[in-house]
Parts: sequence; C-alpha cells; structure tokens
Amino acid sequence: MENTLLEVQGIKKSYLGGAKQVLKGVNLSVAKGEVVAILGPNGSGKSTFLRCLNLLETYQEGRVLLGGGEVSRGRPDDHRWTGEEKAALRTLRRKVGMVFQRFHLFPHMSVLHNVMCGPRHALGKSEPEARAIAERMLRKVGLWEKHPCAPDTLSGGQQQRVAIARALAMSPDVMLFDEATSALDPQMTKEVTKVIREVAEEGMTMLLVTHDMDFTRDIADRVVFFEAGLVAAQGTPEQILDERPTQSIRDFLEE
Amino acid sequence: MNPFLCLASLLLAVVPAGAQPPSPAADRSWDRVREAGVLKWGADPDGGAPFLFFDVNNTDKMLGFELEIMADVASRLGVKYQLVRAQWSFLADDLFAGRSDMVMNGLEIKPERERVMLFSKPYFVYEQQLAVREADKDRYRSLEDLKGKTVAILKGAEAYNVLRRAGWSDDRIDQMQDSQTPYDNLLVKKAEAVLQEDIITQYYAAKRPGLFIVPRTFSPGRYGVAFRKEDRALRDKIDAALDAMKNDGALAAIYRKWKIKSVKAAFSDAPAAEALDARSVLAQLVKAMGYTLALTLLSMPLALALGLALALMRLSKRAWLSWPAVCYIELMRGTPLIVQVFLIYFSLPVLGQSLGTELLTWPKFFVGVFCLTLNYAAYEAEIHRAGLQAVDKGQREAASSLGLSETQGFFLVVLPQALRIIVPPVINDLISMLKDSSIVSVIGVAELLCVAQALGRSSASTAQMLVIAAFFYLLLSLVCGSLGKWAEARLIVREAPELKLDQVHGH
Repeated sequence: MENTLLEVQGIKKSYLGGAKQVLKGVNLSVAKGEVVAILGPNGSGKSTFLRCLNLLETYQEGRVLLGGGEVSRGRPDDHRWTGEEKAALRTLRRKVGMVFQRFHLFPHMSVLHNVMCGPRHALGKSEPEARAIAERMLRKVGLWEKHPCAPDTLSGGQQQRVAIARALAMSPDVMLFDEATSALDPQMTKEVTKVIREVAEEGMTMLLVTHDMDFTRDIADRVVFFEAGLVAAQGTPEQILDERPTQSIRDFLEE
Repeated sequence: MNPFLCLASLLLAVVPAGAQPPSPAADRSWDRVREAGVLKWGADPDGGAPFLFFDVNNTDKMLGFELEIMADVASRLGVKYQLVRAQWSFLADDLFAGRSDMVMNGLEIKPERERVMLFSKPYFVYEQQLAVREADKDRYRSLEDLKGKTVAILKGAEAYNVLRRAGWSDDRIDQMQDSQTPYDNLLVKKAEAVLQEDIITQYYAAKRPGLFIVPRTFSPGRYGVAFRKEDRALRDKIDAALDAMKNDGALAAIYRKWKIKSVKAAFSDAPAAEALDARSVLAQLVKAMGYTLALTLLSMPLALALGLALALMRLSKRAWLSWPAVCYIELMRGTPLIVQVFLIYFSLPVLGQSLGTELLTWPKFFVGVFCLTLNYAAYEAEIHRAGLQAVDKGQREAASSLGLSETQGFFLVVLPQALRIIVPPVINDLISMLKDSSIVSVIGVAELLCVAQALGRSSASTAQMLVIAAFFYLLLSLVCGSLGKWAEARLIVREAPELKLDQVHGH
C-alpha cells in the first residue's frame, strides 16, 4: 500500500497465560489520512485490538510500525519494562490519540485544563502555549465558551467533544475512537459524529470501533470486519455493508 | 528500614529497659551530671501537693517543699535542675530509660524498690494518719476501731500494706486514682475512713469541711531520692548535700515554712490554698487547648503522608512491599494507642542508646506527635486505599493515553480525585485525633485534658474542669468540621480560578 502510516503485523494476544486467545494474528495497514471503521460482533477482539495500538493492552506476539518505524512489539506476560521502554511507550502514546466510550474527562479539572493537560505535562509546553493550543482545539469542537466549566456540568455529547479536543491537542498522527458514540443518545451522537467528520476531512488518520452503520457509510474509507480475533473481511463500506460477502457479516448486520 | 522491622526493634528494645540497666565500666554518674551542668529530676507535679504541684493560678509555676529541697541541693552541687515530668507510676521507668537522673517525689524507701533502685538517706519521715467524718470522730479513734469497715486509700500507696498487715481484705480497701477522691468516697459514705500519709492527710483533709483528722499517727515510713542501681557516685553527692542541709538547718527551715509536722489544718493557709482565679484558669486551659490543637495539626498531615505511602505499598503487586504495610496497619490498628505511646516513649531512648545516637531523645511533645502520627497513619492508609480504589480505572487510562507517565498520572489525575473522596472520613479522623491526643498526657504532655485534670485536683472541682475541657474539645471539633467543609468545597471548585480567563482574553 502506498503511503502507509500504520502497519500492524501479526498481533497475537491471549489472557490467562494463553488459555484465552483474543487476537490470533491480526495484520492491517492504514494509509495516511485513511479512515478505517472496525466492525464485528461482541467478543471478536476489535476493542482489544484498538487498545493494543497504544499499548493500553499489551500483546504477546507481533509488532506495530508507525511511519515505517517499530513503535511496539509483542512481549511475554512477565516482561519487565525498562525505563527506556517506558519512555518509548510514552512517545508512542503521544502520537496516538484515543477517545473512549465513556469520555474519561478529568472531573477535578476545568474543561480548559483537561485539554491543556497533555500539551502541558506530556509535551512539556509552557502554560501560555498549552493554553493557546487548548483554545484552538476547543474552538474546533465548538466548545470554547465552556472552557471554565467543570466537565460534569456538560452534556454527554459536549463531554465527548471535549475529549476529542483533548486528544487532538497532542497533535497525534493517528486517532483511535473506541465506540465513541455508543454511550450517547441520537441527538448527541449527531453532534459528535459531525466533529469526527470534520477532523477526518482535515486529513487525520483514524481507526474507529463502532456499531453505527450510517456513520460508517458516511465517514469510512474502508471497513474492517473482525471475527474471532482475526480480520475476517475488509473492503469499502459498499463492499462490506451492501454486498455482505460472508454469512457472519450477514448475521452481524441483520442483528 | 521497613516499618515492621522498625517496630519490632522498638518492641525488643523496651524489654531491657526495665529488666537490667546497662552496666558501666566506671561510675561516671556524677561526672555526667557535672559536665551537663543539669540534674534531671523525675517527678509528677499533677495534684502532688504539698510535695510538688502547679500553682493553681499559673501552671507555668510550680510549688512544693520538694522543689525547694531540689533547688537547695542543686545549688549546693553547683548545677541546675530540670524537671522531667511523668505520671507518678512511671517515674521509675523514666529513670531506667535514662530520661531522668533521679526521682524525688514522695517515693517510699521499700525493700522491693531497693532491689532495683539505689536510695539516698531519707529526707523525710512520714506516718500514716486517718481521716474520718466529723460525726464519727468519737467512734473511730484508731485503726482498731475500724476493723471490718471499708477504708479508702490512694492506689499503690503504702497504706495498702499497712491495712493488709492489720488484717484488711481487698474488698474492704477502696483504691482510688488520686489523693483527693478517697475523701469524696468518705463523705458520701462509701468508705468509713481514709488512710494516707500524714502529710497528705493534713493537706487535703484539712481543706474539706465535715472531716476529722484522727490525731494519732502510726507506721512510720521514709521518703528517699531514688537513683539507678549503678549510679553510686551521684547518690553519694546528693547524700552529702542532704546531710549538709540537715546540719545547717536548711531542711528544717523548708519544713517549717510548709508547716509540715505541725497540727492539723496547718495547710489551710499554705500557698496552694489560694482561691482559684477564674481568668487564670481559663488562660491555662486555652494554652493547653493550643497544645491539643498543635499536636493534632502537626500529626494529621504527617499521618496522611505516611498513610499514603503505606496505602501505595499495600496496593503494590510486589509482596515485599505490600506485606510489611499490611502487618504495620494491622498491628497499629489492633493495639491500644495508650500502649503504643508507652512502648514508643520508653523504647526510643533505649533504641537511641543501642544505635549510639542521642537523636532519639526528643522532647515529649514530639514523641507525642510521633506516636499519633504512627498510629493514625494506619487508619489514614486504609482511607487512602479506599479513595485510590474508588477512582475510575478509565481515569488512569485516559492519563496514559495522553502520554503522561505513571507518576504524572498518579499525582495529576488519580490522587486529586482520591483526596476529594477522602475528605469526609479524614475530617472524621481529625476530630477523633483531637480527642485521642489526650492519651499522650500519660507521658506528660501538658495538653487540654491533662491540664484540666491537674487544675481539677488543685481546685477540688475536677468535674467542673472536665466540663470546661469538654466544651473546649467540642469547640475545636466544630472548627475542624467547618475546616473540612471548606476543604471539600475548595477541592471541588478547583476550576473556579479559570473564570478569570474570560477577562484576560476578553471573551
């Protein structure tokens, strides 16, 4: 593939010392600026896969390359992380932004401080610089007027938009969305998907785990279908969602 | 050193303290005192009139005939003296632990004491004397007339042995905690007589209306100055000074001044019988309240910090970190604070000696802070643990996903949220620490309860003083409670300062 940004090679992950295999050797290449929607039934490993990409979950085999360089590799369960490896891990996470289903905004900080937190403390920017970045990001998601507020005074949709701003403030190379709209009602979903679409249109590379087919059709360049810890099929949204090439995709979509 | 080992060594260290004093090659006991220029004198001034007691109107000032003897002895030896306070029953322990050089505080010379301590020549000879109700003065003229009746005494006093020898059984001996309450028992007819040393009988009974002091005294005993068994050189110097005082009449002059050995009621115009001045009592209680507050306000932040360290150890996946924390927490929560205070207080100097350092001979106040900190850290550790565990796991993940280090994630994200959760239980503990701080009075820290009781004994109205003290405690806990509400509000409205941004940016 031309212009590959993210390359995942043969990731395997298991729990309970190998007794429960969740990922059985996943390969995936994502081009720069590409938007990939990851679909699949519950327990197919799609969320785990996403969390392996920024090492919120560790995996035992395989490796991940970002911009051609290896950023993580499989480790045995009893691996002890050296200081150097931990530093490399933090570098990786600064390049890979993540948005969670349940937002996870920091409730003890204002909206502004939530967004400033990454640039200020992870990137070591000065207070005014971090503030300027945060202001730009909050304006982008249309919530600058909420910057002095406590997160829990915002609606769910607004909180998720702040969470997107918080991740964007790190200027990541890739954004991961882990069921970013699943906890929201349709109205709020609309406002969040609108923001995600805008970010995608600016050329951000994205991987989204989602259950929202309309959203997938609307935004995804490619759909990857997970089944039992493997990529079972992939293609354009039309190829997967309309042509429904396999029985399991048909089962999944008819549910 | 890990806390468990540390505590274990404290526990071990306390054993030799009472059992066997360290044996010196040469007796340098007097040289040490002379070089220091200070003679450390162990005594208990609480309610100890006329031996040694606080001036009711100024607890910074002490009075008593022993104080005057001490001053004279010290000046004859060319040194200063320094009072080392402790509860009377722990004076010997202080001596063994090396906190004091000598004890002079109405300590009778008795064979069982002479086995473990060295005594000077007696500086005072007392006899036992009975007090009865005025109405019974013709019925009870001697101990024989009281056969089969209940007699109240001071707990642990020589009167106990006198009564036992005279055929009294334990259930006819009413043992009270201080010198004064036996007379209360007598007046409310829970006892038929009080037997105490003449000097005490004449001092206290003379102040109480409705009591009659039986003139005949009996069973003489001697007070002496006590030393560590091996400190012969120091004992000899003090003996020489006491001899000189006897020869030149200085000792007799002191006793004359204190009207000791004169007829009953002589003490009614002795210095301590001044009327209590309400304002000075209040001033002393306020000062003592300051001590209580200082103990608490120093100990609680330290306990929180140590508790946090313990909680993190306990939450660690590494057994060598979590186990010591678990043991420490269970040990400190599972044993009474008062026992810990004693153990720590008496072990610290011994531990210091065995480590070859004098760094551990802290002032009592800091020993008090140390004990409260160690004890409360165990409780705060559990509160911290609950607080840390109550913070959503997603918060840590969100911090990690931003590229924050584990340490940053902990201090910027998890801890502030945990602190917010633990404010109410911590305030609860703060209030209970205010009251537990009274426990360190057993090692002689002049905090609120301690001073209230001392004032009560001097003024013969303990209940009144305790009510006032209780009011002060209530006041303090109300203040702490509102402090807690303020802290809670502050932690929650962290974002408030951001409101200023609007003005800065002009939005």
